[in-house]
Amino acid sequence: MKIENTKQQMRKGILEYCILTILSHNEAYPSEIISELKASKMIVVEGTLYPLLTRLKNAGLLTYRWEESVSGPPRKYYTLTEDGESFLADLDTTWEELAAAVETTRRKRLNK
Amino acid sequence: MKKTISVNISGFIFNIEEDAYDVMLDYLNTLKEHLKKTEGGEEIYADIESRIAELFQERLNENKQVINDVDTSEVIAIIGKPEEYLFEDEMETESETEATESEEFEYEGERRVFRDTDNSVIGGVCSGIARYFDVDPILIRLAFALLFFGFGTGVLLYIILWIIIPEPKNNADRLRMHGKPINMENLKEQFQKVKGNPKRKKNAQKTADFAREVGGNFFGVFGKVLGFGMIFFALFFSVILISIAFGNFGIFTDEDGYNSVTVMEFSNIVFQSSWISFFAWLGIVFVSLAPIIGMLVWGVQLVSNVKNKFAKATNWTLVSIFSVGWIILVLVGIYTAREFSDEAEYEEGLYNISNTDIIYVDVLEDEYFSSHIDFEDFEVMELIQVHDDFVLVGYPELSIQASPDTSYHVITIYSSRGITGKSAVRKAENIIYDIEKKNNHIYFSPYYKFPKEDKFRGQTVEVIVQVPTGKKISFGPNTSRILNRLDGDRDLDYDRVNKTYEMRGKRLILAD
Repeated sequence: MKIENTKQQMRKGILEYCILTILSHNEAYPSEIISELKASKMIVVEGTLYPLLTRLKNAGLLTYRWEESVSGPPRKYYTLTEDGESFLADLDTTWEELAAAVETTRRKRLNK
Repeated sequence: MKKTISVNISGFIFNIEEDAYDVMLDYLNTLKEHLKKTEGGEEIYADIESRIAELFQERLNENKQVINDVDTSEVIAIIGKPEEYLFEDEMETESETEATESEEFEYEGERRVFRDTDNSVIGGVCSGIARYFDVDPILIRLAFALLFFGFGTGVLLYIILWIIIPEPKNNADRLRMHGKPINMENLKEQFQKVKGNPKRKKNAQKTADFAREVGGNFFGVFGKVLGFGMIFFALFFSVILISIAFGNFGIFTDEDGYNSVTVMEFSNIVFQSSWISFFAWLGIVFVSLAPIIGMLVWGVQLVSNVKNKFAKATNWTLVSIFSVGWIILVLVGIYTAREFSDEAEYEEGLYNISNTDIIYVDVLEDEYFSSHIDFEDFEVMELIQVHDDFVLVGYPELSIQASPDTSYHVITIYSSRGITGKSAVRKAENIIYDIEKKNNHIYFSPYYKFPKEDKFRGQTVEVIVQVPTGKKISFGPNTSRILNRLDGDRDLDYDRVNKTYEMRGKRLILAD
């Protein structure tokens, strides 16, 4: 197994979770999502976001509407769909379980 | 002063400096390449493009109206390079199969053949092939030059390769030509290389450079020799072509220049209508004319060092003529092949002879071919002569077999092909073949006829003479013209002439 691959898969999964979380409170267009993710050091380059948004949208978790912008091309404002909401709720539980599991495992290791 | 290019990104017009434009174009091409096989790739591409437009917009104001290379590198840094932000499963690379292998060696990019137009002498075919196999272009050029002296096949091959091998359209293609992976580092490097290449200078300067380069060195001499060779071959082939197309050039010609049939006559009896025959003629002229003109043009160009201003148009015209010629020939071929799709034969038992112990066989005097042709020379060849309403074909085949009873039998088998079984039968029945019998002498005609309107559809005649056991057959002096081998007996052929044989068991044995 390639370590790079594992890292990537982890990062990708968590990134998707973060995107859904950001959108659960309000609708947003990519630049806003990017600045939040940048603030939390989740992403370095913007390009990362676009494929993920398209994938989540195609999976039926996100939807978007167009809005004209004063300073450039029209923007896509993304929101969660109903499926997205319930998927996020699932993810929240899963994340808590996983985080707890990882935390316990790691603590055991560290205490040895 | 810098040149700017006006581009449309996501519906917005930007003025962008030339260098910055090249960088951006390569970036977007790389991205497109990476997203090619990704689901929703087009949408992702459009999103990123529109973000680029937005970022460009932010960098423009009343005092700054042009995007420069600082802007583009900033924007690219913000968005990131495709290989940085696309996860492996989103990229077009051969991820699964290569994944295990690429742990050990560095990933070699997909290598494809392109014409190396940046290092070309004529069309970049040779240097492109050399790139592909990673050898010195001079070796491939030498191979082509040698092939050229083999009846000009090199030229034809070159033209075909010129047509089918694409020109690299962008720097990504140039990297593929070298088999390097397409990523930003390589593209940037390639971009620098291309910028510094004299071949990509503006046309006027390019021509001057080229002429100077060719002027004194070895290649100039070599090019001139090649040029003269091409002109010579072009003239040589055009003489042949003209004589075939318009002259009385025969298909079957003996050393005295006697033709039994000309190309025109032959095509008239093969092709169903004069239209088809015209098209076949046209196709042949097109297919052979294009390389001849091409050789002439390139030859003159090489000799005179003058660059043909309309080189591209000339080449395209020639290529089109050549292709159209081929298409016509293929269609005519398919159409005509249908005419040969079915086969029929019918047998006719001519004579049963039982009142003799020996028969004499010979071939009748030949009023059409004999004055011109020594039959011994034409043993395997078919002779065809076209008359006003019938076609003469030589020769029928004669076989000798053992008779199943105590009589001699003479059997004729007529066969033909046709578009349907029915028409094949009709054409077989229309064949006229003369055999004369005087007591125990049998004379075979050296040729058979069929009506001209039947067309040549592979009509053949085979005569079988069955000899009963213990009885004899004597071959006259002319039989060598049509004698076929007795099944399985390789010794009997021309030696049989003027000799008498006896049938013992199933074999012919020399009688005395």
